[in-house]
Amino acid sequence: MGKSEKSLLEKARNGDVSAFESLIEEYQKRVFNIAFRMIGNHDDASELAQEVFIRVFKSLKNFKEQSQFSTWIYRITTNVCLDELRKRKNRKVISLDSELELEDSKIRRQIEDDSPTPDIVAERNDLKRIIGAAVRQLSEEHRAVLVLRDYQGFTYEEISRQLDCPEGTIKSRLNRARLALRELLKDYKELLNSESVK
Amino acid sequence: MKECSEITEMFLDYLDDNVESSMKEMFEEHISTCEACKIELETVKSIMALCRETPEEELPENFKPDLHDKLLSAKEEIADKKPARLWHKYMKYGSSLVAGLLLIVVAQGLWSNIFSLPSKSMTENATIAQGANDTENKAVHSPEQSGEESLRSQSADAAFTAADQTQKTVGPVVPSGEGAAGQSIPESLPAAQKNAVENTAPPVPAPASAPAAMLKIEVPPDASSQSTSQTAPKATEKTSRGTQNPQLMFSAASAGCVVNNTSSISLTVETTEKAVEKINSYPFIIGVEGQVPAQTFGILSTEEKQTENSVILNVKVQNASYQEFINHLIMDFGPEHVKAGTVVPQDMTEAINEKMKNIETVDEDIAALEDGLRAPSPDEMEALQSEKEGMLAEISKIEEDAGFIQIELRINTKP
Repeated sequence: MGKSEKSLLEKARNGDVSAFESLIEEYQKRVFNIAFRMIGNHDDASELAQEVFIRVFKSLKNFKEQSQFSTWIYRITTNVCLDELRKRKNRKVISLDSELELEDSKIRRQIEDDSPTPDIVAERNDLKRIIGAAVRQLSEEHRAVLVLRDYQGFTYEEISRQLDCPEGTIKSRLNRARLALRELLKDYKELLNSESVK
Repeated sequence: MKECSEITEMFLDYLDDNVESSMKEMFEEHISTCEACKIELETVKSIMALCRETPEEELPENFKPDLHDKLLSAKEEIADKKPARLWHKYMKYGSSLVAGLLLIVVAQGLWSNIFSLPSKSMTENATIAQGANDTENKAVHSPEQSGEESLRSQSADAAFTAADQTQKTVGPVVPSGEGAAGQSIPESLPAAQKNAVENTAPPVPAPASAPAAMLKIEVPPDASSQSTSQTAPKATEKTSRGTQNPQLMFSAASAGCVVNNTSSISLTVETTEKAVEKINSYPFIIGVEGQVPAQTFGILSTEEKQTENSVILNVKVQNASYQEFINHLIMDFGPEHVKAGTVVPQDMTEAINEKMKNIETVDEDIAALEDGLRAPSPDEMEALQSEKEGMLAEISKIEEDAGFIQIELRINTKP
């Protein structure tokens, strides 16, 4: 942590909101994107990302600087998102199977009452969005590790710190997450393979 | 040749280029001959590529302004939290105290014999001492005078006569957490009583550190427990903890006497409860005293002690306003029943260390939740954070005030 960051941190600890905003400036977009990939819609991701920063602000006095500030923020981000996913799982009352038409194929997916269906349907040609929708069908742990690695490009070491898991566990979990994603996207094999040829 | 399942397990390492050369050759050989695995690998590769190529989403337009408003609210919330928690804590302990006192009264089977008390049973000890560093203030210590006389008479001499002959070190000092020096005689005392205090008590040096006042409220259950000789050993037992220190002991003849009734005091469960409620309300009535806001008052601990002839309930109250506290006791219980007592300096270190240990435990819980893969629930984390902040606030108040009032409520169980 640089001098200016330390100074901002100290001010923020004493309740200086402006200093805190400067401190988190560089993390906001990434935190929002992690939340968006994990949750799937802009409004909820925005709420969650803000919750992350509120939690960080309230907990600043407990930040012992044993880990990097960024690692701490991303760890809280993952935790907030996992919390939300678990809450959603618990409050899911009606689960209906739907066939979502995408190009010529169909992806069988479970729709939760708060899932961002319209976006996906509206942009059916966008393979990236199809993958994004499939990612949100993964288990929380698979989703977290895949978002952090394949979307955000964190190293295994960074993810290991953020999730407080050994690197070996992260790797095997990521491999399983990718294979699970591939399984979810089996109807798009041809499309995906032609994509890889490009 | 490896099985397909083994090959797929190697996808990650292969794609990360983290496979030994011999294994890599074997892997590639399998892929070249197994169409299914080849397609799988290509699919995974293209998924990874698409993920990485996915452009980042821009922050929503209102993200920063909304966050700014929320941060301001969070700041206010943090600032508002301390008093609320302390109030809550006080109320929690306060209700425990009331419940505890009632339980003691009931458990000791005092229901039947506390409804009427001969007035002479409330006359045992009657001394008041004043002035922490004020060497001019003197407390009465007149063993020759009987407590009986003091109650029957409304005179200051009688009301403030020491009957506790065993208390050789009874002194005149009123302690104070916020100002041990310069304690004055309560304004509510009659002038004659003030004179009695000033003229008769020997000067006693003030304690080095901010001490605690011990207020002793004696509640004799019946007429047979009223003699001086019976109460003297109890006073000795109490003062033995602080014989090197200036002393102050207030003794009320009846905890149930919430009015200045000096002739026919009766103790009932109902009036005892009222008395306890009154004592609990003092900190809120007193309000801001010196640098101590009303919210910092709080009963910190209760300790029950069973002796051969009585049940003693010690209540330590964080309170820098000893004098005001005492004034209220005198007003509510009657000056003639408020007697000299003992100042026992309280070691704050123990209280602080105890709270620090609790904080360490909370810290461990917080760290475990924050660091674990399993995300802590927001409620759980918030509760822990609040708990910790409350403890820290209490510790800071202990350091600032550096004093406790200790109330001893003694209920005689045997004649």
